[in-house]
Amino acid sequence: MSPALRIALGELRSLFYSPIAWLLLIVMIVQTSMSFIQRLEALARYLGDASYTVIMFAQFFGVTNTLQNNLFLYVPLLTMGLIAREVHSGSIKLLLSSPVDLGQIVFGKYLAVMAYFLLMMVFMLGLVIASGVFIDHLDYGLALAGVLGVYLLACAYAAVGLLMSSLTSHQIVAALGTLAVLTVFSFIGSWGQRVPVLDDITYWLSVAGRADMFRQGLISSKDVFYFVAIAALFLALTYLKLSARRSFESRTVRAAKTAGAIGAVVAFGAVTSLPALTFYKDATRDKRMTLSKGSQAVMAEVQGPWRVTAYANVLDNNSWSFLPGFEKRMSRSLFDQYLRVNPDMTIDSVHYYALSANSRLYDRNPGKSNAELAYLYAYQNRMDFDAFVSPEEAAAAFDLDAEESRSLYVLSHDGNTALVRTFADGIYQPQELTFSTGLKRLTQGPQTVAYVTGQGERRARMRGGANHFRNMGQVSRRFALVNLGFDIEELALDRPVPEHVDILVLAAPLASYSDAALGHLRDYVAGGGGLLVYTEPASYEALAPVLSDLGLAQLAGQLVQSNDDFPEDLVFARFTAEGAALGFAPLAGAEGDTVALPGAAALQQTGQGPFTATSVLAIDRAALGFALERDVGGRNQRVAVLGDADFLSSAVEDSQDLQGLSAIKGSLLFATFRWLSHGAYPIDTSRPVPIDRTMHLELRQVDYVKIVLYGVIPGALFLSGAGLIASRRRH
Amino acid sequence: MNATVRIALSELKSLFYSPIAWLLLIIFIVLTSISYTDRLANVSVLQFLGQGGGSVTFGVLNNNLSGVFVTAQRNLFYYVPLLTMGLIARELHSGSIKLLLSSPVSLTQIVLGKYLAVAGYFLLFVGFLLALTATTGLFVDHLDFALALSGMLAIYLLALAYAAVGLFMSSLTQHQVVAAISTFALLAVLTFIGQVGQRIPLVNDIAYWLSIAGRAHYMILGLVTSKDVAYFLAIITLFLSLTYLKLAAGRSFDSRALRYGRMAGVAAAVIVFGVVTSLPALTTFKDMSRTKRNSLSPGSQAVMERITGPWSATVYANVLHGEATRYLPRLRNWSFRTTFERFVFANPHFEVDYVFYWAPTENERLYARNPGKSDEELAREFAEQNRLPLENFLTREEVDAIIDLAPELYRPVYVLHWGGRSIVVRTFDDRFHRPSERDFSTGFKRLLDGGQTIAYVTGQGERSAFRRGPESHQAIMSVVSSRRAVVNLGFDIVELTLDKPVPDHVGILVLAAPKQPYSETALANLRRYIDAGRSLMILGEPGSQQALNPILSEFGLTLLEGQVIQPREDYPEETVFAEFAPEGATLGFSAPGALARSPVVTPGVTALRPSGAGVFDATPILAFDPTRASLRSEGGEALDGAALGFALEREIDGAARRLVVLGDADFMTSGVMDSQESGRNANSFLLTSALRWLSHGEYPIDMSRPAPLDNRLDLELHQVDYFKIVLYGVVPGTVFLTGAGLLAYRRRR
Repeated sequence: MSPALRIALGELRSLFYSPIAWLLLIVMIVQTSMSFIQRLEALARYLGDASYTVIMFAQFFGVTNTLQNNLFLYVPLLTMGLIAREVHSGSIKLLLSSPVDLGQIVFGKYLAVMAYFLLMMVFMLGLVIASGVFIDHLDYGLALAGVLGVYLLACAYAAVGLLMSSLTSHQIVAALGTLAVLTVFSFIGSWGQRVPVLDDITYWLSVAGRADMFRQGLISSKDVFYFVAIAALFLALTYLKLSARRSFESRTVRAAKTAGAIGAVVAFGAVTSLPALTFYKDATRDKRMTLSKGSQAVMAEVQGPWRVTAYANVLDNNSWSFLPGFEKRMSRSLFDQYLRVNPDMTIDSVHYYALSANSRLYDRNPGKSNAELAYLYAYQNRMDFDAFVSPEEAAAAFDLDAEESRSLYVLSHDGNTALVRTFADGIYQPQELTFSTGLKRLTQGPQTVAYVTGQGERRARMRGGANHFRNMGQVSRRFALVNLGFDIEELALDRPVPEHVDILVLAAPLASYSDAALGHLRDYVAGGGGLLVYTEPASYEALAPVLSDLGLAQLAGQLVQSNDDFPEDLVFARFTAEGAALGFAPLAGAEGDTVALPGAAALQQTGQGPFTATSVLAIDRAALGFALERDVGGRNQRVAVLGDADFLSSAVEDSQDLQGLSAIKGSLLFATFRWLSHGAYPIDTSRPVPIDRTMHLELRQVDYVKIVLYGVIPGALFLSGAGLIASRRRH
Repeated sequence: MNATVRIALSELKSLFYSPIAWLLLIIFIVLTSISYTDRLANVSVLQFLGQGGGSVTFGVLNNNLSGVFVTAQRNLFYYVPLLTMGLIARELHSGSIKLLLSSPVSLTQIVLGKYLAVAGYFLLFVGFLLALTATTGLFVDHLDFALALSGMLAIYLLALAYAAVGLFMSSLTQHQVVAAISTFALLAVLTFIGQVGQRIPLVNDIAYWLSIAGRAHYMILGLVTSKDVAYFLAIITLFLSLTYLKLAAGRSFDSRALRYGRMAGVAAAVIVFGVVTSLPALTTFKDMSRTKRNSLSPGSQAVMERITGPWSATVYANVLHGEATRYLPRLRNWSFRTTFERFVFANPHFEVDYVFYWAPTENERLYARNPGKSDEELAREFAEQNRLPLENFLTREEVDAIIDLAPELYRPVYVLHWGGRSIVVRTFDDRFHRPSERDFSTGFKRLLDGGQTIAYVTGQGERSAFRRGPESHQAIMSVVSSRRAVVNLGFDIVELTLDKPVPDHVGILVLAAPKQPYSETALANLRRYIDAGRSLMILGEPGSQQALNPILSEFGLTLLEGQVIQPREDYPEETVFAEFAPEGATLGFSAPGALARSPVVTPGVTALRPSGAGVFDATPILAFDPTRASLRSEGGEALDGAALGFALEREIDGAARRLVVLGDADFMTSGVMDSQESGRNANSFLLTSALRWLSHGEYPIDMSRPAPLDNRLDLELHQVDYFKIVLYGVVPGTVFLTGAGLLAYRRRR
């Protein structure tokens, strides 16, 4: 048996001959059990669709995180005596003068603590297995990754505790010192964010969020190496501290050795966190920590270097989310998933100032120019005003007016650029759907949607209740098509439709098209362009020639359904069975199967068109939507006609009166544009529905679990501990 | 000098001759300072971004999430056990306890003396907090010192209570660390105990009283209640007595039964004291904040002053409703503090009763998860799951016999009873769910004064208050589950036709953009209604001129032909961005604070012009921008002297008759009011102002509170750095050097 092992066993024995180890184990088990019981009770009442494994183990209030937070308090209490006790009693001198190598001593003591925490992990494993018994299809990978993270964290904490214990003979001082250092390690990531290299070092040193990634199911080599490096660093420092006791080296040599150890570890950390040298294992069954299949397909096209540049308007009311350090926050929440596929990525940021919609800022600072306000902002946040960019310079990168001077990201790759915006919702930053869309635009380009204007049509880029602004052109809305891969334009038909238009939209014109306009329209359709027609009762005459070209006709008048709760002109349509083959079907998660159409006109086939028509939307037998296709010059041409233009209007979008009535509105919008863009956009970043969504444990049965976890296990531990200590004393 | 003080002094001395007391002080100073500088920076940034304006005292010190006091409170949990663990355990370990116990000093003096030492030590913590408060005062005019004081009191009382627990644990073992961990454990138990004994009301009441969770919280927010202070005193007494009894046992020969009996007796006495002092009738309180942020608003107080004598509430909770678990017995004591407590402070003659029942209600998820199960089976499952007796649940028939909840869609409701009358106060589909202060105060006012009835006239193509649709007023008027809906603001909403006289109970009649003209009978009924001195709201639209002008002419107003347009780049010209007319402000037509300059968005609006012939006083309340708006009509009229809305008033026999006439009915559709196309609009304030004017100030009741005086921090973000140098460096450094010096000096001796 190696000396280290022997020392570890001796240390373990002395741990378990004192009541502290037993007491801590019992307290940890009871507290973790309380969290487990609380989650079980919550799950027994749960009616939602989230993964039960996530709720039990991966959430912030889950079992794993409870233990993780408590470690902070327990580890110092366990480690405080490791060396301090020997320093206090003087036995350290015996130990140091023994023939055992100092490295063996330090490592042996550390091994003892590692072994102790294995006990706690055995208990955690027990909880995972128990959950597997109660919950069908438990995601073991996810649960176990969290246990691994907690264990690594405990071991890193213990190394810190060991060093602190070697610095003082007062155990409590060692415990408090450990707490203080651990506190520093959890805050350090927010320090030095304004200093380039320092910010990377403090970020790497920070323990905050490391174990969280394990808990959520993502095991990365850089996080594992981090824990190993921190443990190694503090063991080395402990070694240096103790060796100073028996050597006669000068202070300089000792300081140099300490600095060397720190430098080596930081260098190791820097190397192991290089994206190209990082390996990942997504331990979850559904690969929830990895890009969705749709995004992976997009990333497959992004080869070679690519760049993300944030343009942040410092006068925007969300500008705080682009304060220094945001790159790291965004990396962890979003960018890293892309980085894992193509690590050749650069992130940088530009702060600019331009008139924003932040009226309170202007109210608070009357008479100040934007530049002055930006200067104040720089001053307040200790940033360099000279590095801020004027509106004119920012305008070189994107159209400031069209973007309403909001903060956004410019993606570039291979000479192409694309915008990814921030949004006026609670989340603000882009998420996978819009970010992947931006990447797809880089390699595939956008689809151009052109709304025809001039005949009283609904507009795509203008506000106002009847227009389609909220669903089409609003840049600040996450689910507007302008953020889902489409360029939204408006044009008049007084000249030919430009070549770059992919989808032309006639949205319920009120006045008839001129002959010239019809001519341009026919040329466009004959050329094989995509077309979308929204009809309304009032556009019966204006659309008659267009529809007849397509082999369709609108029935005069409007559809009514009599109902006590709604006006009779509000009708409810469903997808047809035939349309499903073309993708006209409810998206996953739609709670219902109707779309509310305020003021709709029925359509019918006249039977003489050149297109193959499929009915996609209907109320009973009245058709309300057709998808048409034909081959023109070897190309597949697609046209869609929908019997209502109001369902997409801004007022209907925002009206709480109609909320919940249109479960498949989004599905219809997505299906129509996916059909018209030949599947290009909107991209599909949906994920499989979790299968661990049932538990066969009823609330009252939780009582039995309580008896075991609160009574039997702690009781058995207490009796073993008390027995052991008593027998030891009797000896 | 008496023995207690002598023991305290010597204990203090030995505390400061060990590094722990110094280290704890330094850690407390640093951690509290981190929170303090964070808060200063945060308030400063928000102020710059235009999001400040609240009380700075509250924002920095008393904030309930991350303020300095809350941080200090959280950390106490860790400090106290480490400080107290040695108090007696050390003497047990070294055996010196025997000397102490055999000395002529009484046991009481020993226990009190040791406790006093810790109490003295914690004064240092409070002193540091006081210094931070005073420093803040240098940069804030009108610092709310009383509020800050309340926070410090909370911290001190909590520390004292923790210390008493720690002292007791220290007397139980000779292992200091075991004492510390046991103190942590017992404090954790005291934190969670409130959830114990959910099924037995008496046990739950006792457990809830024993719970330390949230006790300091309210005091930190500025609310000092006698029951919370009594709680802390009781806990301190309890654990000091237990310590005394434990130590006394060491030198007496009493039997175990006698000893445990004494301990149980003390515990029981304290619990009885606690339960008695938390009886509502015996509770007094003091809201320390200057703006009385923890008390009823002035508007609610005016209502509650008239609710004299006993009042009660019955909560009817449908166990099949998705929010039913909020009404489980274990949450009732907790929910009391967030719902009734402020009202009970105002009138403590209060009782509350809970009724569980089952009836079909909107809970699709429940039915989807349990296909094929009957309501009774689902109710039984609820009962079993939550271990409640099913026989206490009422069936739908049984609850129907008590109260008609069908109009409430069998959602959970609170029913207030007072003076032989009852009123339903609803719950809502938002995150808070329960009624807020406004909802209860409105309920009380309805008990006193009755509600107001708003009647929407139908039959001429008017907007509906009930039928859902893009042009409907349903969302803002009649949705019972919506907190902001007018039906929850003191009004009853009905629809009626004018083919017979308007019933007497209608207080406000609404003509919302009729498309067809009213018949002669209708006009006659309308005239009779107006002559009776009741209020009228008329909403025009382009196209309703013909229907409305015959009526309006009687009041000296005309809806101009055509519609007002206002060309803008980003909106159709028919959408007019209107504003409150300055003349209307004296009548209460305005939006508060930051929204004062927000537009009232009116898509499709007609203008109104007074003819000067009317007998009513007409005050413009809604105006357009005369430089940009024009009238689109066949006659090509100008807009001189016109406005988009008027309030009309006429006194007859000392009673005022009131009308509001607006040129638009769309502004109160949900699609417009809740539009997210651009920034917030002030549409809801136009409606609120109009309703308050028409109901002669009755409803909606005014819940506004006085603005804080300490609303500006004269400190820029970068100046916080100087604070950091002093608070992270100078102060802890000084403490460290003092401590190190003292310890070194002591060692040398």
